[in-house]
Parts: sequence; C-alpha cells; structure tokens
Amino acid sequence: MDINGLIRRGVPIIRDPLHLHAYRRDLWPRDTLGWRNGGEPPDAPVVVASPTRAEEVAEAIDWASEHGVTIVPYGAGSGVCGGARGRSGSLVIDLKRMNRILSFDGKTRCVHVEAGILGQHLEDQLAGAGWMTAHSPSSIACSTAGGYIAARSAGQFSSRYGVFDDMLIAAAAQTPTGRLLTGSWTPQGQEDLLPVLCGSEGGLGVVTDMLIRIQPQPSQRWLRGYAFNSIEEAWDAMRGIMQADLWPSVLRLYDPLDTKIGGKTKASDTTSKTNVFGWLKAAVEKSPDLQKHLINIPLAVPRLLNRIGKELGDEVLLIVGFEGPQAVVDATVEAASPFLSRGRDLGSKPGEQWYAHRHDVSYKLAPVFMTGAFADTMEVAATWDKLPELYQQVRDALGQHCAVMAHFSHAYPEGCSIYFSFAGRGRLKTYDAAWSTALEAVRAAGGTVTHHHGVGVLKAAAAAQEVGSAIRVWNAIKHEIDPDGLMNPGRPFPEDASTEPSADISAPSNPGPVYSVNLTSRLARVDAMASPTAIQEALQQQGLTLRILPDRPFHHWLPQLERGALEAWQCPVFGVQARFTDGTAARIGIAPRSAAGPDLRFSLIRRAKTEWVEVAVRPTLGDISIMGKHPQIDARDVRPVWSSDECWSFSATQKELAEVCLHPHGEAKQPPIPPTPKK
Amino acid sequence: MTASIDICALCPSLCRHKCPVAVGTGIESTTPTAIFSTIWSAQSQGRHVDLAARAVDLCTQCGHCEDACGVNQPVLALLAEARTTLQPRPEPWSAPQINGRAKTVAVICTEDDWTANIAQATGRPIASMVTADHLGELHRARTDTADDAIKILSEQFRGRTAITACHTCAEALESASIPVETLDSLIPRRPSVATWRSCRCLPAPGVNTVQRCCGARGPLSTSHPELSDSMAEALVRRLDGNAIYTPDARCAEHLKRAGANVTGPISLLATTTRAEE
Repeated sequence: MDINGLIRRGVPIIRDPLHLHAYRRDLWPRDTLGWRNGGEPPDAPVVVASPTRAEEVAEAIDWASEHGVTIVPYGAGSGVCGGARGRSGSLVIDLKRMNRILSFDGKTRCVHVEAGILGQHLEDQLAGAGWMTAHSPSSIACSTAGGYIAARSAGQFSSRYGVFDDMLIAAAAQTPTGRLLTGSWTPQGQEDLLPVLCGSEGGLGVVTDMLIRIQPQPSQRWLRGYAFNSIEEAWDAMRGIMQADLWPSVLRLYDPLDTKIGGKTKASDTTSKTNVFGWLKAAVEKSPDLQKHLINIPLAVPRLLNRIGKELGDEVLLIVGFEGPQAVVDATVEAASPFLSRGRDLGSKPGEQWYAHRHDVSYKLAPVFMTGAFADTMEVAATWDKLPELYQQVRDALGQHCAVMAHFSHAYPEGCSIYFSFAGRGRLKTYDAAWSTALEAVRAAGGTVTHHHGVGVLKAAAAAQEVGSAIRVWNAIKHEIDPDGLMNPGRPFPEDASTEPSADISAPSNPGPVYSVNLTSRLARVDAMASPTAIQEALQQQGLTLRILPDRPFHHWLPQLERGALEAWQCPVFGVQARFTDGTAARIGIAPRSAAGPDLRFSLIRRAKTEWVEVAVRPTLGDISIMGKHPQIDARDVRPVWSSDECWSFSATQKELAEVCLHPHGEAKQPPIPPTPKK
Repeated sequence: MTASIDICALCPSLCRHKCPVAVGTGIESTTPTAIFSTIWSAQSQGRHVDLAARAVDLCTQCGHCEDACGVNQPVLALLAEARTTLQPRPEPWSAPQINGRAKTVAVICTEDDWTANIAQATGRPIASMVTADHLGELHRARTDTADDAIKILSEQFRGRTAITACHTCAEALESASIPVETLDSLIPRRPSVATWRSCRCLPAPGVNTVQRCCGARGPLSTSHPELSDSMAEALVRRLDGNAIYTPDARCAEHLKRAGANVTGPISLLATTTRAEE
C-alpha cells in the first residue's frame, strides 16, 4: 500500500504505532470487557488521516478509492455500539482537527460548524454570545458534531428542542463519488439526502461540516421533582404534559429501582450517609475489595437481585423542567400542574441536583468494570400505547442475566424512550446473552432497538430486521454514492442483510382516507394519496385534527418538504407503508424517534407507492385563537399549535399560554378551520 | 473515588475537551483515557509496554484534566508514577552552576540571556543560572526522582532568591521553597495586546480559542517535539493573526517559532530597557 501517496496528495497523516493503537476501539462496552479480560482489541488501522480542511478529506478518500482501502470516519470515539472500532488494513479519517465554528448568525438562528468540533466546545463558544444549540447529550464533553449526525444523537433537553436530526438545517459530506450537499444546501432538483446521511454511521461518506439551529439561552429555567406512587401514574403525567403541547425541557422519570437506589425521593441527597444507600455507597467507595464483592456476588444471581429491587416499593421520581421567558415559564407551569397533581411535590432540589450532575453518569461505569463486571445501557423507544409492554419485556429479558434499572426521558406527544442501565458478571457470554434476549424482547414489544446511540456492530442485525425490506432503499443510495463499498462497510446494516419484509405487510383493507387512529399515542394512519382536506374532514368527525396540515397529499408533500420549513420539535411523519413495483411492501417508523440506521421514510416515499403514512393528530375541542402578534413574545417560545402572521392558535390545554400572548389589541376568537397549511 | 489508573483508563474521556494536547493535536492517543488505557495494558497485562513508555509523556502537565475531572483523579501524580515504572530511571539530576555572587539569581532557560537587562531595570546586582532542562523538568515529572531534584535545587539556591521568565522554572523554584519573582511582574511597561495568561495556560480575554496551551512544556515538548510544535501551529491558526502577549518566555519562544505574532517578557524587557536608555 502506497501510504506516501497520501502525503503526496497533501493529506496530514499519522502512522506511528503509538497513535494508531488508540484507534482500535471505541467505547463499545463489549470491546472494553474483552480487553479487560485479556483479549486483544480489534485491529489498528494502517494509517490515520488527520485533515484540517474538506479538500484534504476528499484527497484521502480519492487515495483510498484508488487503492481499494476501507475508510472509517472517526470523531471522538465515544460511540457505544462499535461503529468506529478498528478494522484491519483500513484508513481512519479523524475529523478532530476540523473543529472550527465557520460562521454564526443570530438573525437566522443557525451556526455553521466543522464536523470535528466537540459538543462542549460548541456550546461554550455559543454560550459566550448568549446562544445554544440545546443539544446536551451526557457525552457532550467527549463527542463531536459529526458523531451526532452519524449516530442520530439526542440530548437531555430533546423533549423541547428535538433530537440532533431535528436541529440540522444542512450538512455536507465527502464521498467516494464527490461532495454530497444535503438539507438546505441540496442542489436544485436533487433529492435531499440529509435524512439518510443522519444515522449512516460513515457508510456513505465523511461529514465535513453542517448548519445547526441555535436558540437564545433561556432567561428562566424551572426544575422540580415529583414522587408518584406508581410508574403508571407518572407515565400518565408525562403523556399528559407532552400531549398538552407544553413542551417541557426535561421530563425524566426514574423507575422504582433507580429511584430507590439513588434515594431520589428522600429529603436527603444521594451522598448523605443517613440514607442507607448513601452510607453503602460511601463505604464501598472506600474499599476496593468490598466494592468487588458487593458488585460481583449479587451479579451472579441477577434474578434474585431484580426481585429484591421489585420488593423495595413502587414509588418513582419524575423530574420536570420548563425554560424560556419568565412569563411563559410561569404560564406553562400552571398549565402543567393538573397533570402533576397526583404526584408529591418534592421541591426544586431533585431537579437542581439532576441538572448539576446531569453528565456524571459516565463516571459510574468505570467502577463496575474495575471489579471485573460489566455495565452497559440500552435505549429503546415506542409509542405510548406500547411503552408499558416494552418496559416490562425488556426489563424481564435483561433481568435474566443482569441487574437492571431504567429511566424514561426524551418524551414526545406520541411516545417516549426508555434508557435501561444494566450490569452483569464480566463474561462475554453473559454480555451477549443479555443483549440477544433484550433485542428480541424489543422487537416482540413493537419498539425500536435504538433511540439515540446508533447501531454500530452491536445492533446492526436488529436494525436491519427493524427496517425490513426498506433496506432496499439504503442499498440503492449506498450503491450510487459508494459503489465500491469502501465507506465503513457493514455500518449501519450488515452487508448481507435480507431485503425481504420481516413480516407480512398487507394493504389497508378499509376505504380510508383515515385507516386507523391511535388515541393513546395521538397518531392516525391515513391514505398518503388522499387530499388533506378529506383526511381532515374525516378526523374532525372524531374531534381530531392533523397537527400539521399539508397543502397536497402526503405522498407528494413529504419528499418536497424543505428543510427548516418546520420547527425542530415538529415531526411531519411517523410511520410509512409503501409498496415497491415488484409488489414487496416496506413499513418503517415504529417509534416517535429512532436511531436504527438512517431515516429512510422520505426516500422510501420517493421510490415506492405510499399506501399510508402515520401522522400526528390532536383534539380540537376548545381551541383558542388570538389575532395579531404580541410585540414581545416569540412564537417559538410559547409554541402555539399553529401560527401565522395574523393569528396564533392554542389548544385548550395551552389556555394559560394563550393568556400570556393576549395583548392590548388582541382578541380571542374561534379558530379558523382548517388552518392554512404551512409550506 | 480512590485514585487509580483504572478510573482514567475506563473513563469515556470526559476531560478531553480541556486537554490541550488532545484538542491541539486532534490525535486520539493523546487523550488521558487513551494514555491510561495503554498504561493499564502494559502494567496489568504486560502488553504494549514500549508504547506505554512513550504514551506517558503525551502530556504538558498543565493540569486542566484534573480541573475537569468529576471524580477528582490526581492525573499528574498517576502519570508521574507510571513514568517511574515504565521508563528507565535517568541519571541523577545535577543543578546548573550559579554565575555570580549576587543574592538574586536570574534563571535563564531560553535562548536570550536577559540578566543584564533585568539588572539595569531593577538597579540590583543579579547573578545568573543557565538551565537547559527547565530545572530538571523531567526529573520532577517522576515520583522516583522528583524529591531528589527538588532537594538539589533547594541546596543550590540556599539563601538566594530567583527571577524567572518561565512558569515551568517558577514551579520548580516554588516547590523547592525558593523565593521567586517572575520577570513579567518586574516589567513596568504593559503590553497593549491581549494577554495569554500562561500561569495555567488560560486563553487571553478576547482571544477566542478552546485550546488552552501551546504545548511548550512538560514531557511532551521533550519526548514528542513534533506534537508540541503541532499544538503551537494549531493555536496560531486559531489566533488568526491576532497579536498576543504571554508572560511566559518559554511559550513566547515556542509560539514565535510556529509563526505567532507574539511578545514575551524578555523582548518586552529589552524594549523597556532600550526606551530607558
């Protein structure tokens, strides 16, 4: 291999074994466990390119194409699924020297950054000017913007600001067939491939730079804890708040074991020695030997441990947060109070403690590995109607092999994600068995196998199974952009993944245009070819309305929807069922958000006949409209269910917000029906 | 949490955003986590010992990792211990001679000798000491030789005070309990440009950068000079032509070599002295 060719092309490279060694693994716990147990980490690359400009990335890819060398894009290596682990004979393109903010525009509320910038550096620099992206994953100190695209990251405030995909306006990538411009940078007449670039895990190209939405720093942040007697009561509260369009910045529910272990609903904090768990924690931290025994002995009998956990009680802690201008926060808190009335108000301390330590979870894994055990996390998601089943099934599946607890965060009007934390005896066999049974349980319960950690090696097969025959769409795009298959092969889907449907998918049997309504999750399956007015009329007979009303049938509207036309928290479509010309059907979109590979919905609609789409609906009863804009209030802060220059419409559950927006010249009116579509 | 290389080796690199070597070079191996992973492999499994012996020097000793650590790991002490176990013990350190009998000693560690200038500026007699290794910087970065080096330094300076233009030397003198003044503090004339506060490698107010050290110091500059230079180049790119002043002559020299528009205390002293003449 002519590595000097890279130098001749002006690409800065690294080939000292000292440095290559560090690219052998990312943060996939299985590789960490294998390494700690004496195994060799995956192979090192033959060379690392360390570009400072997109042109150098292009040269590196050209060189690799010329020599048939596999390319692995690399950010900060914080992926937990093995997506960036080492490959024999490969070229790693490390983006971390491409870490600048290229431009920043407060007027259009966006920032242009290079892909290698660390999340914390981006936030620190924006904060200096009074702005934020509001993307705050717990890995923010050790992950890059490019990585957020690759693995479809979600931050801790996603319930208000959306996941990283939602925040993106545009992105550019260097690919084996040239420069790929997506989102608002998509050349006229070409398909916008931003949804496919997100979650492609380096399988299409190397993301070099992107345009991200920014928000002003909130002037007020309100955080509070509530104890509920059961997890079901707390789920109702979460769902109620989200479906009332109150858009909390934080809605974070700990399951009974997680609540109990942290002593989270007690007056004392988790470090207090008056709390039995606090005392135990302090004693364990002082003695490594005690630590080893206390972790390993119970992990040998996980079922017993989990049963004891269940006996500890049903009380759960819900952290609720709202942010924005003072008047808006006050009104939102008031509007949310009926949903929280069944909980016991614990004051601001639990919320403030969570906020202060919100990134500390990453420190908790090391002590477990140090004892010879392993710890890992699994983030899944489902619609509200399937969430209890998903929680039960996955917890039981993991509980056969590991000690397991969970919290619920990243809530949407349509559903929520579950974040399982589990620890087991430090054997690869136990690790693999835990994951295998848990992934199967997710599938059986109708959830997505990944909400925001991406796919990597760990979930590649499960993600392919989830996507089913829609994988044909990925294969077609991949073949066009990376015909020789050099870009991170096998990510995010196995190269030999089946293109057959994973289940029997039949066409809708009733005449439509509304095929079914899921009232719990506020979703409707509707005819994608039907006129939106006809859909709207059919829904109105059930007291419902489309959350977003297109100006033409969904099948035509969705592929042409311009990036940035909707706000970050607005999701134009959830599920899609479409049929290819050979009669094979594909169905994707089983959770409000998913990171099971790229978002193939829009590309599927372009390439197949769409039979139905699943879209968000809401009740219309009691809507309030206000004519004219309030001079001081920004619609993005109050988030009316629909707005135009002349009128803001609020749902009945937003009446306190509507009152804030009333101004001397405003008046409350009945809503215009139907609302004018927003293009 | 108890101090342990395991904690750092198994950490997801939560201090990497503060580590100037990791930020400035962009190379994965320079993160504290990668360094400690290699050390752990060598010490616990006997693997990659040669790599670990080099990895322990991928550090400028700036200490920003310790500030960022959420579980208070004494990273620099852990590295010092690892150097002791993984690298051969160096020859004992001997302190350079002091030239002159004056009570105050100028410690000269860079190319320019500023003894005469500071004598003129302060009106005091000044002796000098020329050090090529910043008063045993590498000996002080190991647990097995640090105490001896500090003791030797303390004996060499008995009853004298020091002036230094370099923060590394100032640290050495302070650890040997020798009264020390910095050259920067003795110069009456202040620069008109943004000041890069090198005491803990803090960026200058108004200079927008996330990289908090130019890489001039610590074992990195001796064992991995190419990375040290690459950090300075990265910083120069970030400074984007802005002029800066740094009170550390070692940083100034290093940044100047990389093409920065930088003034250090030695050249500022020279300008001040000439102006007075």
